[in-house]
Amino acid sequence: MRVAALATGALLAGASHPAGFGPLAFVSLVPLLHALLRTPSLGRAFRAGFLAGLVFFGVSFCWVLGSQVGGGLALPLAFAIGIPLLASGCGLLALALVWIARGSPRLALGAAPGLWVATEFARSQGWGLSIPWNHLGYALADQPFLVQGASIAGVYGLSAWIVAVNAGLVLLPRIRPRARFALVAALAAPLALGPGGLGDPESPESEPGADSLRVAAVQPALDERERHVPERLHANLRRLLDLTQSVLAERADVIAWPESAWERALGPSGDAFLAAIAHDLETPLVTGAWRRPDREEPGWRNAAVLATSAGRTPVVAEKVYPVPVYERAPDGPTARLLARAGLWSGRFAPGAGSAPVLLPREAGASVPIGVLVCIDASHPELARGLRLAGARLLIAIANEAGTGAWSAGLHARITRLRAVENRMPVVRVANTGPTLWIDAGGRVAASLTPGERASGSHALRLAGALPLYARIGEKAVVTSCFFTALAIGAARFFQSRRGVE
Amino acid sequence: MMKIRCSLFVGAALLLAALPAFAIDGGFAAVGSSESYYEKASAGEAAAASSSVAPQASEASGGLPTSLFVVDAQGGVAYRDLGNGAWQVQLEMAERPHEHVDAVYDLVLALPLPVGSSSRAWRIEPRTGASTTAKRVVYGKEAIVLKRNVPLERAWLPLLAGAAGGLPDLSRTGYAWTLWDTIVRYDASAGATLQAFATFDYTADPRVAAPDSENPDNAAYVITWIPTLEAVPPFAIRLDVVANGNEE
Repeated sequence: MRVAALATGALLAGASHPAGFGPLAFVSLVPLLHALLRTPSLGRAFRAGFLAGLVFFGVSFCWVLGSQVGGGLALPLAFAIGIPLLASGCGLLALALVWIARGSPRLALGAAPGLWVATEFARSQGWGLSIPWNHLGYALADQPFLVQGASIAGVYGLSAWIVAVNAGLVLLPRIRPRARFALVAALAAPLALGPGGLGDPESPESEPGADSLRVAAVQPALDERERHVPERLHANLRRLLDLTQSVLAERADVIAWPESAWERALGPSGDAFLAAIAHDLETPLVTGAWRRPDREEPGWRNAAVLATSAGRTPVVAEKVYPVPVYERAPDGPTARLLARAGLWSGRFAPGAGSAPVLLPREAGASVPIGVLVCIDASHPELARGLRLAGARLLIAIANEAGTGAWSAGLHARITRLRAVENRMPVVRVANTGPTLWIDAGGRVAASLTPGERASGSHALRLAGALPLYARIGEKAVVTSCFFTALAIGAARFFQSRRGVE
Repeated sequence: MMKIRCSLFVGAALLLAALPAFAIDGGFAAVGSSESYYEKASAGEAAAASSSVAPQASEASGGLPTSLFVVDAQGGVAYRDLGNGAWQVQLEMAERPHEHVDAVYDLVLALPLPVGSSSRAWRIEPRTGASTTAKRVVYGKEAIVLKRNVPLERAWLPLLAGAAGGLPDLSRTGYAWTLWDTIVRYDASAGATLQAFATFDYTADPRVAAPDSENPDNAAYVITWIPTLEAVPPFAIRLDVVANGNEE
């Protein structure tokens, strides 16, 4: 049992960033599921699930230990507390599966996708741990061929599919040959949504034109220790401007700078100097900036601003989910206690949700675009909300200079799936990269090398019709998975009452 | 044509805390001080103010300054009536020490123009050298182009025009302030001195007369706005309006 748990944990980690052997996810749960069906002990099941989770999350979140953000022991402590909490979810999942398997192993395997998705959903929510990374579906994000189904069922649908395949592999030897064929066909059905299939947008190519938008992106690669240091403000700004000028030989519809690239605090009237820069560049500019709190607000906001040559610098997005510990202001008794102990350094309050903003264009009509700040792109409902409200392109600004290349790669992978889910092109602009131009099919149309000072410009075809996922959202998937699992659990309950073991 | 040479160009030196020794404000030295304006004015000011939690005085105006530190300089601006409502304004800038400003700043020209004037291109491209061999002014590897910034006029002039320490009030003169700007990045490789001149053509109501050169309110200003020193009035060089350019 222990070996199976370790194997599952290792395979899950191998399928996830940075190892990135995504298709491993399709077999990663097989050892654990197989072992769980052989044990009647709920205690052993919990321990096995917990161990698998400990390995999976322990490896996947190693980047936390190498981060340059937060103070002293804050992040190591968060790691030490958070990983067992996350692993507990896997333990409970294993426990539930064994409990159902006591009545029927097949029912338990049938319940596995729903239960898994329920744990992923719960840990992503604000009322949970607010940790949206490392969902199983993200393991496939680098393989557009495999993820087109996300336009129907979102990342949770992909996770459910992956777990279903794992469960199917465990089930195959236990069913008749004819049923095996039907099972394999059912599990392979989502592949029909791949390139050229039912779920693929018309064409990955995008030529400049009325239905496309050219986005210039700047990747300044500023060291975290040199950002927001007063003595470096002009040097950093100069670097941004130099990189911007170098890419504007070809006219862009919008320029994007990374999260908090504008190092002057924004007041209630915006920033006239930023507006002067946009006027000078003769191109609208989206940049991250910190907004000073109004008198009645509890903390700063990590925001995004759209500066236009018309002299306006409205805030177009605020980070809804500031990262706990080093970014989010202490907002509960435990957090305040940790802050007093110097273990919680955050000062940003959660921002309000954002709406699409109309991007003025010199030629053609204005285009509604959405902007998300950093890990907000990891919360699918935010990108979907923008898409539903009319956004036809998403700009995701980020800065992972402090948390490192590992977390940056993780976010980049997640962002690709947002494009597929919403059939909406996404430009991810990150301080240290990777900066990506992602088409509506999740393919990387252009990129800047991570870690390098660079800038680039690329046109992306704008989003067309709303996909099913954008219409129904992840709640339908999660709810259906949850009720599937609930129904199976109920069946098991009544079986046990009738004495069927 | 009467030519009056004047000092122009970046009349400021920002002393970043880490680089005090590199500040050379030749412009200020020209009026009798070895210490740059920004060195004096910003003593004790931390550039960190922009990141401070405390609200800034200029926050309500989006960070726009509400007064200027004006230095009179030789030279000026001449308005030539070309007939039939066509006008040309000429700016002359004498050779002067180059300011070493290790900053990114907005170079703003405040220029009075007749109310309702129009132009085919709201751009001013300074040139340098003799008029026969003149070349575009290139600074920081970019050819300098001052573009009219109407949004900046809307935002800044209500704070600045007619205010104490600001720009003169031009109401009832038939003229109004226009602002032209460009973002400039300090170019350490620029030479020791700068000299430039520029012209701008516009049309106006034929009844409009040139600004009165005897009126001390009539002048153009070259403003160096460095955004990090919000409490420090920007350094501004005043270019007097000189007698009609048609006198040549």
